[in-house]
Amino acid sequence: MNVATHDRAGRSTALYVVLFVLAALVALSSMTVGAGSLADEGLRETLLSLRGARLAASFLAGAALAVGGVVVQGLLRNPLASPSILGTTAGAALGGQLVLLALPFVALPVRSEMAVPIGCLLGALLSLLTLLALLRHTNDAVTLLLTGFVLSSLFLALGSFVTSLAQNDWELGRAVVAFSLGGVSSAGTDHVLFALPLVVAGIGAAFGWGKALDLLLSGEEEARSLGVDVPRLRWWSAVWVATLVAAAVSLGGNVSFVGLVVPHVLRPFAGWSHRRLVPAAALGGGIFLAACDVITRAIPSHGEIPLGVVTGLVGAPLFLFLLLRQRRAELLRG
Amino acid sequence: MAERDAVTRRAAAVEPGSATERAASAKDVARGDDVALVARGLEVKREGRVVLSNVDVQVRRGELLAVLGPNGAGKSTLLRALAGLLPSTGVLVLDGRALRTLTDVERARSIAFVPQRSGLVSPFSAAEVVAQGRYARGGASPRSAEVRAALARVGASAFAERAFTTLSVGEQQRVLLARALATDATVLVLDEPTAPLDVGQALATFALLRSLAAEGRALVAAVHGLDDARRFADRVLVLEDGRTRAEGVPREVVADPLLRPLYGVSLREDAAPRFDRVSDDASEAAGDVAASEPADRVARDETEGSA
Repeated sequence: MNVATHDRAGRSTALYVVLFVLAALVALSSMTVGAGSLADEGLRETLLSLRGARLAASFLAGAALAVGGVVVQGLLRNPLASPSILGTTAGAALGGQLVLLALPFVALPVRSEMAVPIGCLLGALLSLLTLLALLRHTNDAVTLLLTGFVLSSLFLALGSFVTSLAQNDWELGRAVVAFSLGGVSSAGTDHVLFALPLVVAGIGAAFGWGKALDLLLSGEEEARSLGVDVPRLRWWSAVWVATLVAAAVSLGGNVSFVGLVVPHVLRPFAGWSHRRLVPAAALGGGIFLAACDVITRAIPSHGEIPLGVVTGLVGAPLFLFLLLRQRRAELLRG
Repeated sequence: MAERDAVTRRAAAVEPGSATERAASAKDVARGDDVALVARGLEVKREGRVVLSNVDVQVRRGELLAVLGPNGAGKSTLLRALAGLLPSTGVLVLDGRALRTLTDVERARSIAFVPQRSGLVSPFSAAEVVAQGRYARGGASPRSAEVRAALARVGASAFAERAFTTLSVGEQQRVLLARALATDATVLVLDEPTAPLDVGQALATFALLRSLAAEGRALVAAVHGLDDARRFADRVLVLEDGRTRAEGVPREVVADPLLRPLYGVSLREDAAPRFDRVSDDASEAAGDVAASEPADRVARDETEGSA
């Protein structure tokens, strides 16, 4: 028993050492890579401030999406679930677009920087609750993925419709298109400061519900028999996932694969327990998205490549590889 | 047929099924300190269809109640309803309190449910699974004394650190039992606890259940084997089509006239050969197991076991 315990503790320490080293490397490259040169004394301060906000935005969005992924995977007992695959990210994006469209016509009681994340939150929540209602009696992977695909397609189609409606007005059209494309390049300190408490609270809540989510991995009935208030767990998990996704989308737009890939990569090292996986996923997700953001700046092109393109190019093959490996392991086990 | 009706009537006489009694309040039915779980007029509907109707159950501390019945009779449904895991109507009282008014945590502290198979899909270690039994009591480390004791009790210490999903079905069953023990609940509800076990493991499990009863726990278990029910249960409840067919002591209920039409089997009352455990090496609680069985069983088992 002791050997296994030491082994696990050792692996956990090694994991965090690696994650912190990677975080430092990514932070360093994020501050130095880009179009402008830090050698220029006149630009240095501005560049550092812009890149600092950008680093913070991508790190927070990545952390939020990865932890959101961990929670939905626990909630649906399916490691293939993630906010982007389930349509939660698309729902959040649609909510943000609708708020942008409504802003010129409706006097909202909050500032526009806050109105968009609130729209994202409502969109994400609506999308996730619809999904949970539709999947009330099944956790079959194919049904889950297809339902998520349909919801995602629906919200993306509605999003495109909103974008086309917004083209009547040049300014509004630009704002909606920029938001739809996503990316952390336009994220300012205001955005980061607004999203920070949401992300921290969401990660804290995911950690807090961790033990109950662990029990839910055995199924609803067993979780209930052991004392978990399952409806309450489902509701609050949905609320916090929606909060995390809304914060991420308002910072970086519709970015996919983070919530899927990061937990997958970390599980062999951090294990399945949510209390161990959530902090690792927060760090790992932050590192992954900040690194992807550095790549958008490092690849030579006219303007910058959207962040979602890089996460997709890195994430999709990696996910396919993980999926095939899992499938092969299942086949070998017979 | 006349014979069968006579048995049904006799069984009905032991079951307190009058409307007045069913209307009794929670306080009335829980009178007596040793009664742990009471159900009166229990009814469960699924998709508008009545799957369990007018079932009365009473389990005392120190008692193992076996629920018998052919497949589809409603055994699992009854157990889940008793454990508060299915919506039901009728009186349902746990330790003197109306079960349906308890929170999930309160209920889980008093009544533990052991499913036939766990739905767990992730590779938690056996010790981690057992530690989940402490959830309603504030949680515990997989290395805590409670978890280690529960694992030792079911003879699962050897594979405490192995992933639950890599264990054999029998080993998984023992871990699930340990998880239930870790809850410290007074009432244990078990859905066919010996179904996936071989004969030696099954006998060890029944011995363990007897020792748990002897410690003052109340146990309700769906049992597949008629012989097992006769040997190990204090009382037997027979279900047929979601209704109580008979209820009483094993010698009266697990008898040919009643069970022949239900299962299509006959019972020979002669001294048929029977297997007993040679030793308790499958269970680390060997001493507990033998010492806590009812005197007549111990005497019988030891004589035959050492022969």
